[in-house]
Amino acid sequence: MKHEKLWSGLTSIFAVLMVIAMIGNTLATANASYINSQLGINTARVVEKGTAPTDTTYYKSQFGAFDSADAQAKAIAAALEQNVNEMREGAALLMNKDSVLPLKGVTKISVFGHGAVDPAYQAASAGTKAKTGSVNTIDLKTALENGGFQVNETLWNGLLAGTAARGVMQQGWGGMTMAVTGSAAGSEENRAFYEQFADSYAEYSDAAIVVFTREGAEGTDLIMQDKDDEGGSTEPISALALHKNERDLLEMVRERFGKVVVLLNSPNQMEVHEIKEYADAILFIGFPGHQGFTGVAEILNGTVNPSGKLVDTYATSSLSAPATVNSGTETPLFMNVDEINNTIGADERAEYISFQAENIYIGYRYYETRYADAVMGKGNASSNVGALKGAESWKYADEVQYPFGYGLSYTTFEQTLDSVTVGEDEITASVTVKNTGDVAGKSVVQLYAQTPYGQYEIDHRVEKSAIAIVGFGKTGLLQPGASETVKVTVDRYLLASYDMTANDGQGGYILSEGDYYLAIGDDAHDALNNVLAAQGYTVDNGMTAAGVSAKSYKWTESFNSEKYRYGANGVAVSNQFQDCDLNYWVEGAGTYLSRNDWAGTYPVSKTTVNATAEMMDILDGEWYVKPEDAPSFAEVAAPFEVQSGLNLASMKDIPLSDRDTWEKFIYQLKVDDLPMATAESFSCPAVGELSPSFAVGDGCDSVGGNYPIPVTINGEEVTVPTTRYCSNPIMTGTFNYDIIANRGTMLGEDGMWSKFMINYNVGNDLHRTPFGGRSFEYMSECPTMNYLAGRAEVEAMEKTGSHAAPKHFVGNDQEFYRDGVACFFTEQAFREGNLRAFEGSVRMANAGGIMQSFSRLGLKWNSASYALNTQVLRNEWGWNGAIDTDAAPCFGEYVDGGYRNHAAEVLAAGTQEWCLDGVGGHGTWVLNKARETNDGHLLNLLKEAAISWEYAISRSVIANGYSSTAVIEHITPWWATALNVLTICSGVLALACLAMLILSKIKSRKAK
Amino acid sequence: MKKKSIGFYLAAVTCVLAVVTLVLLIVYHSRGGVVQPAVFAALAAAILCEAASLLGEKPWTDFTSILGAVALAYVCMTVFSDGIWNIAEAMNGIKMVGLPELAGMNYTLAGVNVAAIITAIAASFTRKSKA
Repeated sequence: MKHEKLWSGLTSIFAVLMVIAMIGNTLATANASYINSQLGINTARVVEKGTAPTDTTYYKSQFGAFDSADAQAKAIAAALEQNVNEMREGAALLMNKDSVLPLKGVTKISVFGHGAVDPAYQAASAGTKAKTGSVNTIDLKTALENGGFQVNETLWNGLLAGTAARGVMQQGWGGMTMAVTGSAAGSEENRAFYEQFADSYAEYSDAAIVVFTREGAEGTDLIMQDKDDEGGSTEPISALALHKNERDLLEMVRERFGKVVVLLNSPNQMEVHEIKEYADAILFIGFPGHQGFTGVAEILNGTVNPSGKLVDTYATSSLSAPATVNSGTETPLFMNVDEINNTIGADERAEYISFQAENIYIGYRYYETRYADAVMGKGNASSNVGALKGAESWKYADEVQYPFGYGLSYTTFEQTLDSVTVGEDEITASVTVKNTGDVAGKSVVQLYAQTPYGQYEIDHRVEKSAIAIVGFGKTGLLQPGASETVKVTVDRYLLASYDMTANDGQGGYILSEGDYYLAIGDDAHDALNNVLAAQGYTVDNGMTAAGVSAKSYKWTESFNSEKYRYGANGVAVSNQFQDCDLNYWVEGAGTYLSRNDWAGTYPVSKTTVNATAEMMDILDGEWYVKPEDAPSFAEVAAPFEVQSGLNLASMKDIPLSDRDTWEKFIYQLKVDDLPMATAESFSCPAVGELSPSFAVGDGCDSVGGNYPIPVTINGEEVTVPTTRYCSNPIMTGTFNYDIIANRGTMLGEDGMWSKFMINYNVGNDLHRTPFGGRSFEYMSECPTMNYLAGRAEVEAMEKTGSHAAPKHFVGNDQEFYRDGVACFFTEQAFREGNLRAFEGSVRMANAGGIMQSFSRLGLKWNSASYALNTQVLRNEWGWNGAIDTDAAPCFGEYVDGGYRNHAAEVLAAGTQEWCLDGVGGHGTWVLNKARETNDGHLLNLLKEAAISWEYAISRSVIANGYSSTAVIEHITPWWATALNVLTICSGVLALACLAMLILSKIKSRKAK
Repeated sequence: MKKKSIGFYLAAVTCVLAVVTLVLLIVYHSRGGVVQPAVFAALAAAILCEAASLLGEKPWTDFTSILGAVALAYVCMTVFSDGIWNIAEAMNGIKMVGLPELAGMNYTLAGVNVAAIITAIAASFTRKSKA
């Protein structure tokens, strides 16, 4: 009996171990890409089969060899310098009463605000993470001390011991707490907390620095109807509004300090009107990344003269933006959501509907256009519909605190519009800038345009922003009295509007007939005032300030629908997204904002509908039907498995237009290898013998990788992460192409040092509202700004050996309910907004790839939209990069169904890779379907995906090391071998113990 | 009652822990957590096997103990595996493809389940009733 129990127990142990090892093995295999990337394991190696190759480092770092510690040190230093430069030139000084800044002669300061000791260096999302104390991170206190300030230690240490935290802490099961960001309640200590340290203030009273932080996250927007702090408003308030503890803090600080400086550690536009009552100076610093605080300290002490400008409008009430009605935390459900779920299944994620009632009027395009119409007395613009609560009429001065493009300097500049040359394709403006103050500084030249809004536009529902940025430039450091002439070149395409009725209803871009204006200005509002002045309007008409007509230029155009009618290769640009208009499905269901009638079209309530049976059928996501003329599977498969002797090195200079050679290259594969070319994950698998496994970068404002050579810091060997740069609104806010392009260069360098083929990290989406949880990753509220900045960044990055892949293509402008949210809009708004924002990066700069969005265009998931991925990207734009879904994980066997898992539809739409599918599950399912249904069309699409993928790989650092005689050998990672051995050994031992148990029982029975 | 040995009490504790796991799984599933039907079947089998041990030492008791432990291990690993994104996203403070708000339940489930596996293994080393 004793032995029976021993064998019984041992059998249990080994059997349990076997089960754990088996399932663990399956789990590990499914997540192999992540494990390999974390362990730095490469599952393939290059073996030279010919003579010793010459230099095969096709993509070199500008800093030296990738195995040189010295070169790596230079690369890291350059990246960190870029990070600081972004803050130096991107932080926007919003207010500077009595020139309180720079804090000259000030040495002893008190720093307030929970955000001072717990700043958001970035928000939770992909990419490198900087945090206080981590490698290369400079916290605010260190930066201030390096900048010559003495910081009140008592207060600082008190703050470190404080209890404030961003977001609501939720008690989870098992005692786990999880911070849900998006709320500002409880994010600041209360007044009583600060009173504890009151005795220390007198000694450090030269100035008070107050840090306020707002932080969203991937999957979490800032809350539109937030709670206030304890004792505050019982009514919901915006998360961007000042909360009670913050107000109390400002009040206390104002009472005790002569100089109060507020730092806005938030990429989202805080409501600043109350802050202005208490502060002497306000500096917008966004998220600083690793070392941006150094730039902040340099601005505070005057080493650097701020020259950054806002890339978003700071409204008095963030909820006054028309886009807030149907988005973010206020996104409505379909009225018949239960019916939808019962009909197509909840896994289709078709519950939420975001009707983009705002039309083209996002950010300043709303506030400034409405202002212009109010001045001109048009479109019921002065009606109180959409005005601040209780207002009798809509008044710009009440509605807007700081306009797009706003930012102060420690000096003054005078800008003169010298000349404008209107060419066939480009317009060039020459602007002379003179430093009229007594401090050296840089000045931004902002060039805006107004295009005609006449009867044609009203009749054809072509909306126009009264002002839109079309170009910018920045001076060098101008000494007092010095001048510089800046030339700004504008692509006339940016003046065109999308008219859904043009070309006999086929749609297309038009140049409107009438007067066009270009204007320079200190910001969008100033430029608009200059245009209005040229049109004869004055403060008597309600202008907030008199404009200067000499700062504008007028010319006339006649109607033209031909100039931009055709895209790449002569493909006509035409309507593709009519079914994304809600009224296409349900007549009269939604009203889009129009400047023709602000009062009648401003959205005052949420828009939702009952999804009809026809709509549900499309929401279901299954539309693929084998084309009648599809070739047979065998026909398409026949040329495969033929060796041509081509390898990555052979292909690195072969253009895509050489189809024959690319096909010969791909035909060396077995068809069963093709799905591996659709697998994108932390570590992408090898594709047959053609390309090895490799890692990719992810995360805007960084690539998320590590430098390869460990360094010694304080006697400890550490791995250095790639740099987390400033949040995108800071980078874009530099209005400096050199800095923006160098961001691209450094991201490419970071990618190459991390051996990343491609980086999903150029955030081109719009700040549709001020509440976007990923506003920190995206460039601005203005599509043209994103077009211009994105183009500069991506062009520079594509010159390195690590590709840029903008994301999230397209329209990922909210985080709450982003999974499958059905977005409805006008084609004009989509093309001039969401698409334009990516067009610079993708079409103009020829990005190596893109990552798509979780949202739906109308009823179809972005990734399954043929109109988007084939008609626009491939046909109209002529773009050949790799198209990747957003996360559509597959671990092991792929199961068709659920809105991310309609693999045939996604591939047929033009999407080619599935993100977080490191096993090629989606592609394998498509291959099997193609085989089962004898569908050569699907097999052809898999082949095209492989060409696209291999093309990108051949133009990247992954091709380094290959000669034309090199081959790839696959390696099984050690952990996979270990898990297999563990499974087998535990299984054998379990069986052996079980056998012994049975024998013991037999023996025991015999003995009895 | 006097005849009951330590194995009986260990099996009883395992049984209770398995029932707690079942209740947690039902709640977890109702909140959107992924639970495959086979997991419920395995858990039911584990409860039955451990409950059978409560009948005292029988010729088949050793085999049901082993089966119970194995079934619990299957439940533990499968639920953990299916909930891996809940945990990964909670740790990173993001919401992507999992349900990070359920990560706490994943931890709790894993904890209770591991405790059940340990007591099940211990029970299989011991007699359920005195000779």
